[in-house]
Amino acid sequence: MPLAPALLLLTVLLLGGPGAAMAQGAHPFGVPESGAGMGGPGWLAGFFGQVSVWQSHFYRQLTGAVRAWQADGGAAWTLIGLSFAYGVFHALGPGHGKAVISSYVLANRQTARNGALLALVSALIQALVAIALVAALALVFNATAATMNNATRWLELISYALVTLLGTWLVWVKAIRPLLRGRARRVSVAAAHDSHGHFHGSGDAHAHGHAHVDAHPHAHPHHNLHDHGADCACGHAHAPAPEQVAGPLNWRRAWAAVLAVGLRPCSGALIVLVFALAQGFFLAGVASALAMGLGTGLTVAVLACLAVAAGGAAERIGHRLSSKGAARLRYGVEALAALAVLLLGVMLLGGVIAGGG
Amino acid sequence: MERKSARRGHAALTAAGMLLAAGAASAHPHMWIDARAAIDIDEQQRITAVRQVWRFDDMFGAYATQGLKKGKDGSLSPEILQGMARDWMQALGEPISHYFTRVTVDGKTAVFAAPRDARVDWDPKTTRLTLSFTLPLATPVAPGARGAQVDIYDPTYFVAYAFEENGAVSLGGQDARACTSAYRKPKELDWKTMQQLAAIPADPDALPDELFAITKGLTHRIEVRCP
Repeated sequence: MPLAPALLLLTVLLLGGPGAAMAQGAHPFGVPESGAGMGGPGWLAGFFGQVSVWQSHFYRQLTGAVRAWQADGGAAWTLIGLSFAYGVFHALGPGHGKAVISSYVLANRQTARNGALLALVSALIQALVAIALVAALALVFNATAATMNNATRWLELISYALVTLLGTWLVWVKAIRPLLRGRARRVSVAAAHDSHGHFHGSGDAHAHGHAHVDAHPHAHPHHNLHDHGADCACGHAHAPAPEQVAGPLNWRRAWAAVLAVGLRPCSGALIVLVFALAQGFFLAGVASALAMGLGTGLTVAVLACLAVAAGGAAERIGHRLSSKGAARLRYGVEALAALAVLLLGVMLLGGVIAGGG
Repeated sequence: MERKSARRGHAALTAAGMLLAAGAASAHPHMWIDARAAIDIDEQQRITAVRQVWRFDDMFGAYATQGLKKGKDGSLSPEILQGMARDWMQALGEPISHYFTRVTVDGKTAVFAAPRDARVDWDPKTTRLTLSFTLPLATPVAPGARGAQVDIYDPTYFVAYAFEENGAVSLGGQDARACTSAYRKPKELDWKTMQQLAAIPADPDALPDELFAITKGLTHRIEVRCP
């Protein structure tokens, strides 16, 4: 059953949704994150439970570390180290960031390098958003916690809307369009040749995309920059070596994923920033937020690489079946990853709206 | 050989899927409260109210008071503090929170009347806020020989309570001396309980009771007996 692993993947991806969506209900004490979310299979919750114990452990020590730095410049590294550790465990815990990044990477057949880059950049953006938010609202306008909570909710809403949009786009490109193309090709082989468009629109003069079913690793130098969505419906299964897909990241397309993840600041970072500000030592908060971002980014980068490895593994499984099977499997993985992004976005958005966001 | 690598691929997928399941959440404390509780006993040796004092951690204090108009010494006006107390008590009164407090006698949960005497104090030096309130029972209940259980905790694990100060748990009221109280710390959240917590459906109305049933032993429990 070539699709079994892909289905498994989707199932687990989707299990992430309800918990994340549930976490929206406001906590009585008005902190921009509620911990009410619980969902997914038990062993998974158990894993997250253990992660959260560690996360709290580091978080609790942050105030002491800010004060220690204030008293003694040499203690800066304590705060930075604690913040980094907090970031690592934050990334391992609940949150939509790694799901979006990993699914995006899977759906777009990005390389491990690009996946890691995406993860790091979005975590950096997330830290910068937190810093900018607190600097602008608290430092400049002396806004209240309620205002900052509101601003966070808006950013959250935009972020989740972006996840939904990204998901919609991915589902169209990865799941629906290849099917339409496949049908068109069955009608006429010639038509298939024409419809085999890559998104660059730079002409399809290359000898590629005929309905041949032999698995041949021919090189497509221009592939590097483009999506492979259309390949799936071509009926031929060539597996580009990692070097071939390892082109630079297409930022024009990746920005949606980066913003979807990075726009919503982590509440831990917000609170540390405000605390540092109250101590008259905003710099410590900035350092802490950046260290958290680095910890989160590196962790998500590792997860994204795992996703890439899993995608590669699925492809290898498919190859042993038949070239057709491989193409189908690849289509399955990409389409399901795309669907996962969409459903996650819908659930997150629904959670905010239901919660009176 | 072929099979083996296929299995490896399967395993890699599972591992990645596991890590991708992002939202399957379990909360971690973002707030810490140093708490005190006094249980009032009337002359008929019944529990009439639970009086509580919750002192929040310094990070939360800094965040919650950010941007509020402060005096030269960093103090907050009585109006602001009253508003804060009002807002919090209202939020705590929601069914899902239920004041994070539960009084049980003979397996029955006592019903609370409207809370009173809610106030918030602010210490600008330590940046710590304190919420005090009294939670009267709608009808006083007698603990009897089997005792009454007063449980205090946040089932979502967003707030971590500590009753570690001297005299954090006490009895008050007219006939406090007729009764005894014993405090028991929550046990650590274990693997099995986390699994049970995770299995609860997302139904906010059912949540408190179900959570309560599962989280036996995870609450801060004050056992009151009037022999």
